[in-house]
Order: sequence, then C-alpha cells, then structure tokens
Amino acid sequence: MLSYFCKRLLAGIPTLLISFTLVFFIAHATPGSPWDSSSNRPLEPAVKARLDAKYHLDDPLYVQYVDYLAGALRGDFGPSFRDRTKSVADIVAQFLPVSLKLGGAAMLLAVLLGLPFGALAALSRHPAVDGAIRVISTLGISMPTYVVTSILIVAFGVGLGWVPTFGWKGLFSASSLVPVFSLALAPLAAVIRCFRTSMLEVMNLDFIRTARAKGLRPMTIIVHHMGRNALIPAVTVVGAYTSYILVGSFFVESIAGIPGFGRYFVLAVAARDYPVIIGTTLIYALFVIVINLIVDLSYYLLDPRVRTEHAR
Amino acid sequence: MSTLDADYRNGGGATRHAWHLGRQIVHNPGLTASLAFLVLIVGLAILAPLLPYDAYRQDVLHRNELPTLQHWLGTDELGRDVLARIAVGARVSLVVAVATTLIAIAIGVMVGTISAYLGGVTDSIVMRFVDSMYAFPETLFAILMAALVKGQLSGEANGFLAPLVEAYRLSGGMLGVLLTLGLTGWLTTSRLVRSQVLSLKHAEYVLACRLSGASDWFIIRTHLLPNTIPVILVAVTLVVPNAILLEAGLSFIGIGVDPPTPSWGTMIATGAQSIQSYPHLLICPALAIGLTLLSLNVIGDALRDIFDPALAGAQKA
Repeated sequence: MLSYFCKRLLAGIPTLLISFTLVFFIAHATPGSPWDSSSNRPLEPAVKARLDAKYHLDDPLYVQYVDYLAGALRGDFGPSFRDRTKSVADIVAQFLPVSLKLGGAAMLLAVLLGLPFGALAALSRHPAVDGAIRVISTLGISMPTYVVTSILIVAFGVGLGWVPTFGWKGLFSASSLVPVFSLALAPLAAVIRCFRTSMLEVMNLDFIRTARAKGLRPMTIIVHHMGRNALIPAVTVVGAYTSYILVGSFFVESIAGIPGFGRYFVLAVAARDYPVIIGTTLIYALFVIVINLIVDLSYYLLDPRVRTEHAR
Repeated sequence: MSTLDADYRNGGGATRHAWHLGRQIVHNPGLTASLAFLVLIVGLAILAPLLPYDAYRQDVLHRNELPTLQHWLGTDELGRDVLARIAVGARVSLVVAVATTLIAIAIGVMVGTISAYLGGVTDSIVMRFVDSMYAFPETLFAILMAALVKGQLSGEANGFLAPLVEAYRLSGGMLGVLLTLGLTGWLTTSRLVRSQVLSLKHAEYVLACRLSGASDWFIIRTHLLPNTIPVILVAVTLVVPNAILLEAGLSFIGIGVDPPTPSWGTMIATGAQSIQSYPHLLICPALAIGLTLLSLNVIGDALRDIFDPALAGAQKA
C-alpha cells in the first residue's frame, strides 16, 4: 500500500514541474505590465523602476524563475500585483472555500444521483426509462456550463422566481441550487452513462446467477454483487471531471455572481496579475493530480484484484 | 495495400458509408433534427449580410426590446438586432471552428505520424509531453495562451509580427482565438494518429515497400497517411464542437473575439448582466450555442459509429 502510494505521488512531480514552467513562461511572455491598469495616467519611469525592483521584476528571467519556484515550494506565491495589500495565499484562503463547497457539492450530487439512475437504466428494460436517461446524458455532455446556468437562472430565477438570480448566501440556501446543479450536470451524465454500461456488463456474469440461485434478496445482489463490481469505471469519471468542475466554476461563478476563486481568476487574467495566475494554475494542477491520486488509491480499496497485483 | 485502402480508392467504402449514413438519417429523428438545425445555422451564417438589419448598427430609440415582428429576437442594450448578431456570431463560430480544426489536425497528424514513425527516444519525449499536457485542464491552458496571443497581437505593429497584427485587427480578434485553439487542440488528434500509425508501421506491405527501396516520406505519404483518414475524421468530430465551446468560453471571459464583433460568448456575458429585466438577451445566444453543440455531438456520434477506428481495423483483418 505505502509503496504504491509513494510511487503514484512521485509520478505527479514531473507533471507539476512541467505545468509550473509552462505557466511561468507563458505568463511572462504576455505583454503588458501589472502597473498598466492601476491608473489612466502612465507611471513615471522612475516609479515603475522602483516598483519593478521591489517585486524583483528587473531580475533576469531565470533568477525570477528559481526564486518563484523556491517560494512556491514553501507555499509562498508572493503578493498579488492587483491588490497589493494581500498575498496570493490570503486570496486563496479567502476565495477558495466557496468554490470548494460549490464544486464538492456538485461532484457529490453527480455521484449520489448518477449511481441510482445508472443502475435503473441498466436494470429497467422499459424503453421510456432508457430513452429518458439517454436524452439526459446527451444533453449533459453537449451543453456547456454557461448555457445550462443561463437557462436555469432564467427559468427558475426570472421566470418562476423560486431562486435568487444573483449572489451567494452559503451552500445551504436557495442561492446555491442552480450553480450546484449546472456544475453537476455533465459529471452526472457521465456517471449515469458509465455506471449503466458497467452494470450491463456485470449483470450476466456467472457469480450473479449463483447469487440469484442461492436466493439472495435482489437488492443485496444489486448493491453488493453488481454495484461493487461496476463502481470502478464510475469512480474514474470523478477524476476525469474534476478539472471540468474547476473550469466550469469560472463561468458559473461569473454568471451567478458568486464571490469564489473562479470569478477571481477571470478578473486576475484580465489584470495580468502574474502571481495570482501562476498560483491559481498551480493550485488547480495540484488539485487535479491529488484527486487523480485519490481515485487511483480508491481502486486499491475497491478492487481486490488491484491489491493482489501490487502485493506481488 | 490494405483492403481498407483499396476500399477508399475504388469508392466501395465511400458508397457503403454514405448508404449507412442515409439509413441512419431515416431511422433516427434526433439525427435528422440535428442536421436540419446545423443547416439552419450554416445558412444563417452565410446569409448574414442579406438580413434586413446590420449587426453593428445601433438604434438608441429601440434598446432592449423584446422580440417583435420587426426584430424577431428583439434588440440588445445598444439597440442592435439580436438575430443579426446571432447570425454574425454564427459566422465567427464556424470560421473559428473550421480554421482551428485545420490547424489542430495539421499539427496533430504531423506530431502523431512523426512520433510513431521515428519511435524510440523521440516518441518517448513527445508522448511524455502530450501526457503531461493532458493533466493540465484544457480551458485553463487556452485562457493563458489566449492572454499571451492577444497581448502579442493587439499591440503596436513591429518587426516580423506586423502582418499578423494587421490581420488580427482586421479579423476583430478572431485570429488570436483560432491561433490559441489551434495550438492547444491538437493533443487528442496526435494520440489517435500515433496509435493508428504504430499499428500500421510494421504491416507487411509497409515492410515490402521499404525493401523495394521506397523513401520514408513515400511510405508515409502513400501508405500511412491515407490509412489515418478514418481516425482523422473521428478527431474532427471531437475537435469541431470543442473549438466552438472554447471560443465562446474565451469570448465570455473577455479574451476571445474583440467587441463590437459579435460572438455568442460575449453576447451571453453581456446578457447575464441584465438577466432580471431582459432575459431574452441571455437565452437567445445560449440556445444558439447549446443547440449547435448538441447537433454537432449527435452528428459526431453517428459519424464515429461509421468511422470508428476499431471498426476500420476489423474491416482490414
């Protein structure tokens, strides 16, 4: 277990380093200085030079790269250029929790709704159920997040007046319904599709027939025998859709007016706030890698075959 | 020469594929509706200049109007006709989709073919790079690239970039978007092409060709590339909707197409600001892009059923 864990952890390091290097150089090759947008009047050259010196922007690029990497390893991404009273770490601490709650709730909803619906689609021979589920999953996979959010807000916020159209009053309020559901739709569709396929595959295997023959209750067979075997492909979906939810939060938070990290990132790109852009991107990349690691480890727990393979 | 190759040459495969597609259209109402909607959108894009209203003409007396007989989809916050703007937005989306696909497929085919054909260290390095790019959220990368490309091209014209800067200005920022998406969208294509070339490169007819003294370029050109065509078609069905999705996403954030050029993404972003009073400004562009992507996905599914690489491999055996 431990060696498997360490191996997977080490494999993530080159990916992170490549991400860091790529983001660092792209951000620096982008023209426009962070001091441009602070005022309509151009800064005095002397003032600009002082600012550059204060933030080490006048060092050679490779020195900046090494400095920044060293800082990032200690969790220090420097001060934000746009909001100079805050460090990137402060901004993350302030804005990330909202986005994490939103994204976590969306993923949970996708799994909790997706598994029963996927099983239902596999077990039900009724063409209407199968058809309805196929329509939902096609819609979920094709419709971009910003379209789903827009339509839901207009329908339920403006048209019916059931939910507020703008703002955020915490996860357990009506204001989170539309954002959470619009983020959850695509992963939900994927979980349904995936779980349906793998349930259909497991359904006709010999051990299921044995379980039926020895008189186990149908629910026990579905949950313990079929469900557990069909779970692994569905868990993969969670890993694959993590970055989808992260990116979806840019649009959902912007449209629904949620003060989260996604909306902050969109504003930071426009303002060329390098430390925030690099910090955010790295945190997102790290997040995706960690989630995929957890998904890999969950195979280890869910599937005895993986365990024996690595025990050897 | 493989049977598949022969099929393509004598047209037998093409006829069969067309027949298969025809049968699907008759039996699948979803596919028919999707094709019809796509024809509508393409028609709208082509006929955009013939519409009675100009997409850029502002009319302060008729701002934020709900749909009327004069303005079928209403007018926006500057009194511009929404239908005309959706039509021009369709042009932007389609041009970006086609150009992006050409760039992405060209890069993907080149990288995939070279990587698979040379093999060894080149292949390892290239594929390790592609793998780590996969770990990186694509939209995030597109946003960074768009900021870079836009920054480089939207400034003063200088040096070798001067013609590009001019073209960028004339295209209303479209050039930046399609360069960005072309440069970020080739990963899937390169993987698909690579695996196809890998499976073919040790085929007996390729070996025979090499023994008879053919050059690498000749083998790639006459045997390997034609056999990647089904895979490339599959890649196209994936790249096109993705390009439209990302273009609208970038424009939504404000680093895509420059205003006043209409883009569905920009229209959604501005529509979202007046959602309470004028929901039609949000719903019209959202439905336009949503239904376009839905249609493209349905058609893509049908095409992938026909050109599936696994199926193509089975035909060969």
